[in-house]
Amino acid sequence: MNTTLLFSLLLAAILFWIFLVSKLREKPWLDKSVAAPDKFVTYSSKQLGLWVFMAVATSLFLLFMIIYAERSTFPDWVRVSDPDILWFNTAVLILSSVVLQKAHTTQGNPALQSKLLWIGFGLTTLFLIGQFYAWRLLNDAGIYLSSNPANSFFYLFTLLHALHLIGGMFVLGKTLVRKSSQDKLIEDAGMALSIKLCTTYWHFLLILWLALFYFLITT
Amino acid sequence: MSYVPIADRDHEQEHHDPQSFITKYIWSQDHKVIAIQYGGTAIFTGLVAMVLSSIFRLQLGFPDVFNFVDPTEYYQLVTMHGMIMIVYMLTALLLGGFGNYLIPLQLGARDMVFPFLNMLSYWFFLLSVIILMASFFVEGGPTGAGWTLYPPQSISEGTPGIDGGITLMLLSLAVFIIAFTMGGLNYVTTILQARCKGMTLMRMPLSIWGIFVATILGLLAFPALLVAAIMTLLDHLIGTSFFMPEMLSMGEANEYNGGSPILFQHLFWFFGHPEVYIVALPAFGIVSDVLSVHARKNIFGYRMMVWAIVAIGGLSFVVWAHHMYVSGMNPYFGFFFATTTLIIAVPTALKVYNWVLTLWKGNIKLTVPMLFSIGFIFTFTHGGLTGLFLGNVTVDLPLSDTYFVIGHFHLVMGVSPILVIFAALYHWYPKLTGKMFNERLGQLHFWCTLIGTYVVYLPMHYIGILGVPRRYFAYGSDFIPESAYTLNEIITIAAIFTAVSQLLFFINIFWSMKYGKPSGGNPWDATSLEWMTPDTPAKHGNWGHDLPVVHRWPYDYNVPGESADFIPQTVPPREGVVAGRNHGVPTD
Repeated sequence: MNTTLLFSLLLAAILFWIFLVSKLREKPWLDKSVAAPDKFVTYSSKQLGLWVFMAVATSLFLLFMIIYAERSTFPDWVRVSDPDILWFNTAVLILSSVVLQKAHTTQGNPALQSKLLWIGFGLTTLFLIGQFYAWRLLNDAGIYLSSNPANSFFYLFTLLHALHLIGGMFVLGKTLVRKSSQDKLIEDAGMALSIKLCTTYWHFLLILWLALFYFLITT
Repeated sequence: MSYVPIADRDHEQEHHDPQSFITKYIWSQDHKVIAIQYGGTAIFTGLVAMVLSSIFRLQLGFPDVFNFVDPTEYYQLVTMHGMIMIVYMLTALLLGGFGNYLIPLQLGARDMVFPFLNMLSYWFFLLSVIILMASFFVEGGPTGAGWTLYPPQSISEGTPGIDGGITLMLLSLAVFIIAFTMGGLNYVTTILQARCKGMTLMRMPLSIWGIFVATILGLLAFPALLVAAIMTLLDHLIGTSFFMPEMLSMGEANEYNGGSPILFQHLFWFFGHPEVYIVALPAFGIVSDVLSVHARKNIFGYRMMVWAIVAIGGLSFVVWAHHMYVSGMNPYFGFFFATTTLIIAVPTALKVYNWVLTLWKGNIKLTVPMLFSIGFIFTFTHGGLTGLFLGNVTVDLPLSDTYFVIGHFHLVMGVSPILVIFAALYHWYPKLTGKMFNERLGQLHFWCTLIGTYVVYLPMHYIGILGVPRRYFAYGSDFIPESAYTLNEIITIAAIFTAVSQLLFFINIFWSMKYGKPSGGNPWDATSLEWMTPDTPAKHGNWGHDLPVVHRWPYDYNVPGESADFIPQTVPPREGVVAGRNHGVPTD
């Protein structure tokens, strides 16, 4: 299995390399015209910045998960049953993501959009409260951060995910404040972009949570 | 809603020039000021690390003469020297300093795309430096676990700095990584988004390519160090067992159970090896530009150089375990990493050939930046070749943890990037200050540095092959041959000589700032955009009223059929003059 994986990775790397070099074939010493801008500039800077940030966060969590998978093969690993409230929390987070998506697509109706954004904000808060409650449950059951590596990872993952979410909520909160202070009838391109970026980030954190949750309940 | 490129909506943006002293020089959002802040702080920490190395070199060279260093302090000095030089000096100076200064100027942008984030990046960096330096003043002093901070050593009783030093070190690294992420986001987005009209990716100077790929490496690799730092911190402070195994410490069983120190090593080197290229790639790029300008010749094989930078960046993520051959790994695993290590030497060697071929038949001007660049080719080739030795498992095993390794990595990623940094500082000094530096003093500085560092690091290979181990406070009488002692004394004298001779550099830049001759806007007759600014030093907003428009690549030196010896990037093509094979410029 490992050999297959290795060879497919190698193949993917070669294909990616061919793609990359095909994009970088320009011979700059020949062409003296004012060339058209590259494809990248069709995105806004903020959008691109967010994607780069999400790549960094993916790298961070991926590394954590690899270490988690590796560490879980050691003999002192004790499998713990995760609190059932996590299922409820997951449902709430999915809902918040859906609501934000709805808000993003509701461009024509600013009043409804505001309402949806507030609901999304509220649902996310509920998720965080739920996560905190899960900690309390574990704590009451006498399972602390350093009791067992499985628990340590549980606390660490949920905390880091929550921190990323709180960062997102800060931006969403700022957007909401700005939205409530402006004229409801005016369409604002910057506002539309802020909502779009928040939605993207929420989807990203949802996928991240689903991956973490899957890992936590299966090992 | 389609997006309009920044170069096309320049006049819609308002550029409020900062008015007060504080917004202009302290809480500045101007990339040039931030670059100087980053550079100044990094050079200061580098000086601290250099003084530390001089102190422990005195101990190593003359163990019976000087007794102001005890073994505990020795380990602290070595650890702090390594960590400061690699992370807080080289990374911060090359990306935070040169990245900030060059990206907007060489790409024809007014500033970074997120100036506020950029300012925040510097202040987080400064905070990380303050936290790091604070560890010198806490009880027990800074950590002495070696710069790799391997657990269980780093957080076990008896290691220097266990009281507060190690906590501050890990905390400082975490803050540094946050600072780097904020800066890195800016560099990548600016390079992709804010290039002026006509500046295609393949018309960017190689400095920018090096900085660009190095930043991507940093953004993906630093999280590994963050993960390692967070988990070690939790192991140390809260008693989790991510990395800490159950073991006897000071004769008693510790409180941990079953953690894996090898996991830490994998994480550390998954960051640590790309880190070598985070430092090397910007240096590769900058040296390419400096060589081309001062040899009055286009860089040889521009596309190859770009592809090599990208290839090295990609490969640098699959070689990390060559730092861990002695950790008891599966032989097939070792074989794999030895192979990838040898493969990465191919694009690297290609770059060295291209530098040499750029000089071939060039109109070489032996200016101070050029001297440092040529010096770099020597030290880098030298350090790179010994890297091939160490990349092979069978050769690495006996040489591991000897002075051979110290000689290798100091030449390849210590001295080489430093020589490029000096080349770059001398090269862009006129743009930074509007003054020329003193040529004679610069030449003296170069020869002292090059000869000094060679006398320091060349003998280390020999004493390494003799088997003298690294990280030893003293060697006793029968352990190593007499010749190794003599060499150690010579190394120490040379190290102190090199350290002191760096004063020449500081005297030169400060003296020239006041008394240097005015340099004009383009003293080297260079083609790239940073030399085309209307003011020298460049003012806030860089380009006056209009952004530049680029018509050609940045290496049009001595173009056949043209009378001028260089053609700036902003000059449109003349009617009837075609570039290419007809004029002796190869088209493939």
